[in-house]
Amino acid sequence: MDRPRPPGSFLPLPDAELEILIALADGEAHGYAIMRAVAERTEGRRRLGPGTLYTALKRLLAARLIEEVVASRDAGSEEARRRLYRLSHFGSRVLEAELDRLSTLVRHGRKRLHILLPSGGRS
Amino acid sequence: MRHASPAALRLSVWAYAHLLRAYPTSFRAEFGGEMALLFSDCCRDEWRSAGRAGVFCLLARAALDTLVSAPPLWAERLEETMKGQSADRRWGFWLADHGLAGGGLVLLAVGAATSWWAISLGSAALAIAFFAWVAEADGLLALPRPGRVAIRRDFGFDIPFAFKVRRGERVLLFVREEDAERGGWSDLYTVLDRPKGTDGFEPCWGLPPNPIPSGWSLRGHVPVHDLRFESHDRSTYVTRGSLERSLSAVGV
Repeated sequence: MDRPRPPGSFLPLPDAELEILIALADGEAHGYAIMRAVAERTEGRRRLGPGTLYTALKRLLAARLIEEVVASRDAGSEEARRRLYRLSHFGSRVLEAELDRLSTLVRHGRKRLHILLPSGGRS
Repeated sequence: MRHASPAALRLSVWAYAHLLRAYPTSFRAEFGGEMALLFSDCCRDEWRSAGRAGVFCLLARAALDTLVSAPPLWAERLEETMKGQSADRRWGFWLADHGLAGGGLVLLAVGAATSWWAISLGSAALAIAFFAWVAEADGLLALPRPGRVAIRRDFGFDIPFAFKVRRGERVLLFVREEDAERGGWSDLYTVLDRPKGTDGFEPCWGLPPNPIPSGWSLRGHVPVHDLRFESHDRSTYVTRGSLERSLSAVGV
């Protein structure tokens, strides 16, 4: 059996995968809901196309950072054709590690910027 | 009351369903349905907010998205395919494909500074390298193997029910008939031939080539077990020695 990879080995996460994990941190969602959540959160600046979204979902499923939710819905309905995804426990740990990494990066970046521009970059 | 979808919506959804063919079959089987559904939802949103122009912009963005997201999946697919191949074949294909791709890039670089013909040749080499890579990954291309003849087969597992080979100016068809008396398949292949470049109705496996379909002539029968078949990935080969013996038995 494969040994589980430590969360740190997945970092840095590619943009699309990070966006998806953040969207799924709110709860389970299907592809369309994830895409809408990303567009709303970024005020329309980031739009995931279907190809980018589903290739990222495929990778996240393979790495077990997310899992598919088996929902009992009316077979044949449009909702039943949509697969629901949720963040796995391991995925939450990877997301947390990535957010820690990014906040450290931002903190260091701001510190350097304040040294360079004591006014904080505002003229 | 539900209104019929506008033509722009239907056209975009239809075009996107065709764009999905750019993805490998396994990926399409797993996510294609959902991707089409998601695209159709996005089309409806765009139609409500920006009308026809919005829908066509969305289709253009989806086409770009496909161009960006499909090649990495093909690369993964190729890597998986190559893992199952013999080392010789892997390296042979790698060298041929990378040689073409490398040569193409060099020609493009030279062409950028000198002339249009180098750009054209470079682009052609890159295109061939790309399609060879895709064809190999999808099992469409049978690579030549020493001492083996690639055959076009129609169904069957270890032993094809029917297959074709080319011999000089002739096309030879081997068809295994159904043995109604014993049940199952006959132990003989019926060998038919026709000149290359002529049309001939191709008998299906399981249907006895009797009467002989127009365009074909009967060459004889050969025992099925005289032929040695090999399958590599999705390509099938027959050993040259066993094929030659069978062909000389029917006077070809």
